[in-house]
Amino acid sequence: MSNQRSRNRKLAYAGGIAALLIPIVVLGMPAGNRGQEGFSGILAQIRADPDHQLGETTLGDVDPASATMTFVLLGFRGLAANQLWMQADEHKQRKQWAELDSTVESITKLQPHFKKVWEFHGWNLAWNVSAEWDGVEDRYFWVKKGGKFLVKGTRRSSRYPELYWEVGRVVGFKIGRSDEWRQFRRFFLSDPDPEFNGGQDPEIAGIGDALARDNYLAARHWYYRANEQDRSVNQRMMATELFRSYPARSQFDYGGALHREGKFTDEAQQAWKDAEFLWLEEFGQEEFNSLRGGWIVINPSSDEQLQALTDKDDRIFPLEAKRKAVESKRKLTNFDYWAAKASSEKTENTKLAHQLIYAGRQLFHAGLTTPTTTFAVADADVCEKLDELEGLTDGQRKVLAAACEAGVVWYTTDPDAPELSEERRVKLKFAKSKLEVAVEADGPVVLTGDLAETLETTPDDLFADLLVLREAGHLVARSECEVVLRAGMVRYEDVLKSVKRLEEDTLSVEEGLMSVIYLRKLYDQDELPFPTEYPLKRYWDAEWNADALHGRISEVERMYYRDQPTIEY
Amino acid sequence: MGFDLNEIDYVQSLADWGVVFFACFSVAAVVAFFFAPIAGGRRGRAKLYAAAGSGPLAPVNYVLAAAGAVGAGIWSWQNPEAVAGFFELILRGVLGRAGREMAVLFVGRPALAGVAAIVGAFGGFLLLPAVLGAVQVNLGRIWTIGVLTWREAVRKRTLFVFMVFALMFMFAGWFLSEPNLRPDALVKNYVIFVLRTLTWLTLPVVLLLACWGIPDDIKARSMHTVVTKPVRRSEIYLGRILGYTFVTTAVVVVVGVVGYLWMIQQVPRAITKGEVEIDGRNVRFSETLDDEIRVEIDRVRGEPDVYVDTAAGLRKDQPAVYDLYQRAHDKFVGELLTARAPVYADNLSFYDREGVPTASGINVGDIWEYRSYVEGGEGSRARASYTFENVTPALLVDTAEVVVDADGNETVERVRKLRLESSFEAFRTFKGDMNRGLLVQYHFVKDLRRQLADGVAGVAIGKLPARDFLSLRRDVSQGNFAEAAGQLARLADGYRSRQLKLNDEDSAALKRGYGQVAELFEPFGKAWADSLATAARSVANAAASKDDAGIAEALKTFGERFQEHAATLEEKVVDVDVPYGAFAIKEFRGNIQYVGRTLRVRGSTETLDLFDDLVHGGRLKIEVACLDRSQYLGMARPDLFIRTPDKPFAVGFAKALLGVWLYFVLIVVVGVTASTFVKGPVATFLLVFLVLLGNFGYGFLQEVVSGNLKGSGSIESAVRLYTHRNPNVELDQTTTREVIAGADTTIKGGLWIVSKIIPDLEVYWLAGWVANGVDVNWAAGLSYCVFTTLAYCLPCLLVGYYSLRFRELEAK
Amino acid sequence: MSNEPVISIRNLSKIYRDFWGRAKVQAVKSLSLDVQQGEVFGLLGPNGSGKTTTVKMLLGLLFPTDGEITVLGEPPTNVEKNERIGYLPEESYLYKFLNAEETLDFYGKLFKMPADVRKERTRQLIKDVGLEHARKRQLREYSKGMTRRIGLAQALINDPELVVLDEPTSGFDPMGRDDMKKMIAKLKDQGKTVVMCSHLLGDVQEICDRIAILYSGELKVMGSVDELLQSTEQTQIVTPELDEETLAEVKEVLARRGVDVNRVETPQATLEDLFLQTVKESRERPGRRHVPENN
Repeated sequence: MSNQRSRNRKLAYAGGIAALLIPIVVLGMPAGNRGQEGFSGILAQIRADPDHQLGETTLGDVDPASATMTFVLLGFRGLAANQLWMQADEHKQRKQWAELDSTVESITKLQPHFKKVWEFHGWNLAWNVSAEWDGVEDRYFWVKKGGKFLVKGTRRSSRYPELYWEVGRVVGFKIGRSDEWRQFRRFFLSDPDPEFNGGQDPEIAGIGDALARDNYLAARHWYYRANEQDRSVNQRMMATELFRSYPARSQFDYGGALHREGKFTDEAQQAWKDAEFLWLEEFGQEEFNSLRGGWIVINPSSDEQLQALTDKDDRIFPLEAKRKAVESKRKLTNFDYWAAKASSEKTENTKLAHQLIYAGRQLFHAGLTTPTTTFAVADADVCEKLDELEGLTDGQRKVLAAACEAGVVWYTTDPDAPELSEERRVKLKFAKSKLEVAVEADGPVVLTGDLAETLETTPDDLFADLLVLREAGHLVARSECEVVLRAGMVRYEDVLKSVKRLEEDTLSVEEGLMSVIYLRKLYDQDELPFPTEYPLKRYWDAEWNADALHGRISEVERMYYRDQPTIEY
Repeated sequence: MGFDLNEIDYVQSLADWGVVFFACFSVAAVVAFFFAPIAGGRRGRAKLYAAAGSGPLAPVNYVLAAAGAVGAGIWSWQNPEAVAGFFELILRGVLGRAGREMAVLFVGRPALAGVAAIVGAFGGFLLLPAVLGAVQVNLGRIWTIGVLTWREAVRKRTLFVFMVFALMFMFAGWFLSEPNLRPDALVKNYVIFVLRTLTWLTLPVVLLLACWGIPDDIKARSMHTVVTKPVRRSEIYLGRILGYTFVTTAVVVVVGVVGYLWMIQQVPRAITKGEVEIDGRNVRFSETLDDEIRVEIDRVRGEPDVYVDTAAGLRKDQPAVYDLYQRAHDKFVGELLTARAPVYADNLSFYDREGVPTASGINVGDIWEYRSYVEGGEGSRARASYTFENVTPALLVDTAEVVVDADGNETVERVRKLRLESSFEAFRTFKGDMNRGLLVQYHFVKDLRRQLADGVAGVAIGKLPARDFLSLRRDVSQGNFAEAAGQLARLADGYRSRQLKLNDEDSAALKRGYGQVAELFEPFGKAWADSLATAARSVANAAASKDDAGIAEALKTFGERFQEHAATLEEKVVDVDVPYGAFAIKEFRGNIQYVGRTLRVRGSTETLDLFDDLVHGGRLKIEVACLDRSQYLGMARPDLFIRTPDKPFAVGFAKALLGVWLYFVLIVVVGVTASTFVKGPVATFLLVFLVLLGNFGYGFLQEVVSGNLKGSGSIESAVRLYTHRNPNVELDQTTTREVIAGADTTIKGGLWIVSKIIPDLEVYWLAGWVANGVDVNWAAGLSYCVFTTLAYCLPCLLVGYYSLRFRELEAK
Repeated sequence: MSNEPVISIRNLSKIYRDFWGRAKVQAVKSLSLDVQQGEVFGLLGPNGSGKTTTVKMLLGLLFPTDGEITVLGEPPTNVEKNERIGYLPEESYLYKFLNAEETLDFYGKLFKMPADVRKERTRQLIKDVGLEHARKRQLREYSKGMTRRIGLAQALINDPELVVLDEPTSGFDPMGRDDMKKMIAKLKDQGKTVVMCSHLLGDVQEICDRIAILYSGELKVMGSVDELLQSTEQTQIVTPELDEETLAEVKEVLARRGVDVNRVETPQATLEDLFLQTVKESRERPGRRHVPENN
């Protein structure tokens, strides 16, 4: 009798188990290959489903070590991670870099999918740790390490667009804008670490399968990937419009950097042209869903385009609302300013202005600052009323005309003038069409300009004429540096005037203020009184009386001193 | 090479070791004397007194005790520092910070040291027979039980921990596969990995064994069969400890050796690039991305020659370069996997911008005040001055040097030089020339005249000089010794005619000053110097005993000696400052400088010999200055050292293993002791708590107890937490606040006791040395481990012995 | 042999206290007894009567609350005297991970016996207790009987003068108990003093010279076995099987003397005798089997 009952009990249990198995199978079946729908369990589907993205593989590639560590620690992962964070900070304080490295490594193994972990430590390595080191190669090593750490972050948790953006910031902003930007940008192209044999470090310079020619181009690539990722999982770091504008901004920085390095080549101008295109056509044409205006485009070619977007809206937005939304977005992204900047920078005139100011600064550092035997036109309007000037022999008038035309007269036969040797040669032909300032990439700057070729006079007469003109106040003795600098400043002034937006941009105005500072330093050197009238005076005065601290002048002055010794000319 | 080596202690010579062990024993005996009666109950007390007093040897005991006490007393009277030394090392182990303060009490107080030694020695000798008699342990039986315990551990498969280690080493690659690590960081990771896994994986095994050994034995009542044999309880207790020590030793040795071999084999393969100096030439090598090998060999002048080719190609076309690459690779790995034997400076003092000696340099805001900074540039005379004691030619290292003869071809010469290794830290106030590190310059200094001048006036950092002697000091420092002699005579008359009176500061200053003067003259070994030395010594003694007449007399004789030897003093007692080269530092790396014996004085053809002219009485003073204007160089005592020939890496690693072994012995002893009076789980819990607090909490606990931790007591903080008030908001003045404050102080008292009992287990972690390629220093590293374990073994043995003895072995 | 008693206990008492020191159990109440040299002394009593506590106090495993004990002239806690004592605990608590040889070798070493003597005694004892077949097997795999045997072996390793056996015959099959009894008898012949506590009264009766019966910590009865069991009122005569006539004749004689006969019966062999007999026969002639009639 009793085994009858026990057999029944066993049967009942078996039935119950079988019943429970069904839901488990349905829920927990492992994901089959993605192709066959419906083959994998519900949980697997949810995990794989893009908007949930819970599965480990969907969050980024799986690292066996991190899986084991999280498993081994059972519930204490958080506790262990806290301990490691405190330890990492202590290592940094005690300057134990190897231990810091391994501690950070194990933190990422414990918390691979925490955005903050990658962001913080990537920044910590690239900014703080690199600052602790003294050698420039070592600093670059740690900036790279921070960058590579963030690249690994993008692989380990590929959902966060912020991480791609952070890589872009390290590769672009940190390498391009840190105090050691000259050395870093050079290292970007030829790495100091012998392992790369003078070439580029692929992990940092790699964009897809190619290697970027410049750190800003590499940054642009990462900003593009950030945007791509932002389209699927949007970031919460900043306004989407700002976020999506970074590739174009990086392109702007690329052009700017080339100018900062004195490379006023076609490549630089092409960079600015590309920048304008990216800003207007690519970024400008990107569709954004604004709150009050529905789908809009920041740089609509026409109202029809805006109108065409209404069908994408889920609510009806009148054209006026759309136009207002476009306006607010343009203000947010400072769209018009950048458009103006790009259009002006790509022009020959602006390039020339930059180039001259740059050459002027180089000359200043080359020490060509004493007015020896170079003469320049006192002020521009002398050239207009050239022929009304009385009391001039036609020889002198010709000299003055040439000076107006060439911009500078450099008299060669003066015995104590520094002899004209090959390496000191800047061919300054102010012919309206072209100015050729051949500044060898890293070599010293030289100045030449020989009026004698064009006038049929003897050197002595020429010198006499020059002296006369000087007494008459038409010509004034000026050092090569001042000549070039002033020419640059004049052009820069009308560049600023021509594009109203530029006046509001701090960086553009600062370049002007810097050139004024150089001019002032020029006069201070020879204890000469600073002239009351000089190019860009308007901006200097505006800044000077902006507030008690003279606005940004002190800031620019500090930049002047900071860059002093490392100017590489 | 920035690792934190805490300061070097007093205990140096062999005699001190003898005293140390003796002291340990006597301390333990005294503790036994007081502790035993309490634990032993009526019966135990009777037994102990009887053993001490009775027995045939009783009279002999007392005599021995007395003799020992007197001897120890006299010895300690003479060198209180040594007494302070060993008390500190003992007490530091047991009482931590308080131990150090208590120990310092002995410095300069011979009487106190003498008394302490007498009490200790007398107690020790008196109780020697008692403790020995009572114990009468039989080593044979201890060994038998030890073997039994070992066999039990083996048969209960506790040694399967090796399996876990095997797994760890196999999969180590996962955890250590950090691609772009700097070579020294790579080695550090390997070393730390091996030692950390060894420590943290073996700990649970050892801890559980130790805590559950005896309780299991009692619960299984197998103890009954043993106890009824002629076996003393203490023998069982010691046997257990011995057995588990066997287990620990086995694990540590096997894993240590396997770890060492694994490291020796893994590290060379992992090092793909490096820079090392071979035969006087700097060679940089690296495997490149498209797996070629790039070798750069520096020439004395001009660009280095660079070879880039695949390994096979290089071997075929440039066998010499390939061979150099191999040697460079092996030497570089050897440079990382090594145990430096550094000779550290005995003290480090600084000179500020105006050249005035100060105790420490400038703090540039580092939280971690390990280094203090020296300002560079012509305007600043700030320097750090490292004083090395007993510097002899034996410290030289043979190295190679490239000599370029007239027509430019280079020959390699083997030569013996002083190898200085430094790792200063740079702090830039402005970018300056970033392409090179800050410039450092060494100055070999023999400032005898300055020392003499300071000595005669008792000038020292942070101490008051003898004011009346300052004008004397000026004369001596300017070198007109005749004038100085006159000064001395006048001072002598002043004291004789009571116009000048010796106050406390003056006598202390003169005692110290003239002691230094004597030390300064002794090394000359010449008659004139000896006479000056004795005269100075007499001035010092007179000052010590504050007798004006005596000082007058002594000063007079000293003045006459001065007068007599003014000429020789003029010639012999000089200040020499030989600057040596200037090199740009590479931060966080060992910057090595080879300094030849003969140094050329700049601007003259005259050469000085390092040992004959610059080392005085075994003392070499190296001053370090920074040459970059308004930039700062950070210096700590271990940052500059004379690097004598390295010891093999195995030596350093073995010492680190010894540290780990001592750590486990401590765990075993404390574990088994705990298991004698509490059950298994309670003992385990006690041990786990001890390990956690000892490793992680010690520092914090000391801080809490020392009171310089911001924030209020524990209960008050709890109240603040609850009421969401931050620390600086005053709680409202109510009676409860007084109660809380009172409770807090009692808690703090309790914490004080806990902080004194808990050992500082971080002391056992010697991997820091080995990972940085430095041989584990005895005084500052290993001695702490030995003494902490020793300090804990003694009381534990006593507790274990008595608690097992007076405990009924009936497991309830 | 000095006539001093091997063990002398004077008004011994033991109170078990709980954690807070409150008296919980009065295990032994002022017990006094002596054990003379060379006798087999039995300590009897139901469970909880304090006999094991007394033994443990004898051996120094427990400390008496009051009273004096001297064993071989020494206080129980004295260690040297243990050289001359052997103790077989209730269940022989030995180290499970050792095999027989290693166990005896271990205990031998504790007595600091030289290696060769130790080896010889180990071999001999293992033969005596009949464990050759299990010499190499770890105690973990021993049956209860075998554990008791090795327990006895370790108690005798040092050829002790005084052997304390706690429930020696419990856990044995009849043959085992028989062997054990023979061995104890052999100890007695060797002049050793044996103290045995048990509640298998049959065995005690056979082996012990003198016994003491404890009840709830107090000594109730003490004396030699024979005296105690002597029922003075009755006499028992055991003769070979008698036929009817002789039996009747005997009864007659007794009746004449005025002695009334309580019982006349053929003595029933004890089950143990039967069991031992059958085992002995089956060992001599294996293969004979009892076939039940009704198949």
